[in-house]
Amino acid sequence: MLEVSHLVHRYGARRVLELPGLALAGADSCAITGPSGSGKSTLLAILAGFLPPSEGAVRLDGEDLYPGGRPRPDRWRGARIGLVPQLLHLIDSLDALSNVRLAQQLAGRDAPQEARAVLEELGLAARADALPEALSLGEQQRIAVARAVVNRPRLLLADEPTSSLDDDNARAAADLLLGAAQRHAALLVVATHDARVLDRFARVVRLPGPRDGRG
Amino acid sequence: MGLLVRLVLAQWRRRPLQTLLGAALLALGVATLVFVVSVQGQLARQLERDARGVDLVVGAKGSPLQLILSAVYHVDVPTGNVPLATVASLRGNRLVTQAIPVALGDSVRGFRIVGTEPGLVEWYGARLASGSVWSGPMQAVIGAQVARVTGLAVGSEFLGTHGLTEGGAEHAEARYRVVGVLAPSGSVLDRLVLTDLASVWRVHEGEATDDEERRVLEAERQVTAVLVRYASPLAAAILPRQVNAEAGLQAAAPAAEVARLFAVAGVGIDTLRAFAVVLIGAALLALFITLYGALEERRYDLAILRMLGASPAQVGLLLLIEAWLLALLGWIAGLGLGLGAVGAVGRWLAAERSFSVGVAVPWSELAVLAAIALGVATLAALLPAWRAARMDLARTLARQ
Repeated sequence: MLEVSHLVHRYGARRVLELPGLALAGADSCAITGPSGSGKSTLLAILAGFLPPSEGAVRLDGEDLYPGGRPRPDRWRGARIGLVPQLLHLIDSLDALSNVRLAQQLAGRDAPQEARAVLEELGLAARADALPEALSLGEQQRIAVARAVVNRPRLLLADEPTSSLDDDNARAAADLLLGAAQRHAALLVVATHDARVLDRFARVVRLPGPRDGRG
Repeated sequence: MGLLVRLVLAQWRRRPLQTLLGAALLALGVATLVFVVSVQGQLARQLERDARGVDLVVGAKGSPLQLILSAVYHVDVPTGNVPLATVASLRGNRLVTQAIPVALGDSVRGFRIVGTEPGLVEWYGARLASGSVWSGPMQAVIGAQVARVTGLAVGSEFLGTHGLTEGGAEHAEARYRVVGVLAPSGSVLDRLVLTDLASVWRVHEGEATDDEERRVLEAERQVTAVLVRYASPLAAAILPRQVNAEAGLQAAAPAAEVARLFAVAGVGIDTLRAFAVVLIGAALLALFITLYGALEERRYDLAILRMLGASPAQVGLLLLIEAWLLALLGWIAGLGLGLGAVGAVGRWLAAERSFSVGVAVPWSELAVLAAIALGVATLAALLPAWRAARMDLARTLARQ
């Protein structure tokens, strides 16, 4: 379960994010939406465990993501939280399977069969040996999802997963994430300003637009 | 660690050229040093070994260095001849324990025929591999390299050619018979053909027709130089002066001349060394630029590694490992290149019947060179690695 209590984040004097609270349990899914500059990406970075918030706390299954205000060790994060970044960022010198296995290895384990199984489940079994440049955007996105779920994270995060896709593919991408989260019993949080896919998510949190420095 | 190495190798496979510049420059620097160290070391050892026991060389007036190079190392032409009586006079000097004459003039397939006394073989501590030393004129004992190159063996005969280099006219009357072959000694004897002094005289004098003519010929007999061993350290202070005072004679000490030679050649060696240092400095710069460029180019890759659970130290280590692998590559390539150059020079010198330079791995220097390569790589990677480790993950991932 994910518990967020009164998050505030500032860059200098500028308050870029304020979220009173959020709680997700089981295999809940949640879309964070709001206009540009409302702090969606900042919230995602905080939930991903690498940006300590100015105020407030995030707990995943009861464990504070920022004990003492500092991020947990990278490996802890890598084993519990999966992130699909907006630009995917596959390692272009590694083939699809190696990209997925890299996530396993950096989290301290190596199970090639599991990595293959995840690729298979996302319909990519035949593309395991292909380099990212040989893959379509949709395939690359599925590799990025495979990479994010291969460690069976408790929390799966995605940043604007549908922004560059047409209607059909946008729905497919949302379903891909929802399905992956469900299969791996992960909580899903997606930052998106894409109204086309909001109805797919159980919860929608709207962040207010940017305001000038009250704090 | 294994994972990081695999990542680096995967990146190289994608972009082999830009990573190789630093390694190539490092290889050239290492090769130059390997070459200088190896050739200089071997030549110095050889010059020292060939002159061992030769305290002084007495020969005709001229350049003392030329006298040493011709009479001891057999790589230059003689300064002239001295009367045979010089040998007896030196032997009568109480400052001298041993004096051995050498007479030059002819060669066989570029190897010098040296008229001398069997004492020279003992002087260098050489052993016969087969046969025996000469006991009369026109008998020859050949060095190991001579036997290998010419195929001559005990019992073979050959004609001497006039002059010290290949391509001179053959003396029809200079038919030598090989009576002994020396075992390899690593000294100058390996590339010499030794024979009796009388052989050289006979070839150049021709036969006397009557006793009168024989007396005249014998009175005019000469040798090229005399190798001298001192009786006491005191001789070094006195004997050269005594000899130089005599008309037509000069004395040269191999130790002093070799030191002078190295002082002159040292400038060239120092230049090569400085060149190697410049190459290694350029390699440092190239490695730094490569790694710094890689840092910019792979900013997202590095951020992804962090996102997936790599620690800042691991990401920094990735760049260090890349630098170390490049250094290793440069070191190995440099070693191969340097030894290849040594081998080429060795073949050239062998063809010139000159000093022998072999391909030998200079192990102790290699460790030093490896340390230098590793140090250069670490220095080049330090700043990029530090920057990679300190990357702001949230901002890098958010940037588009």
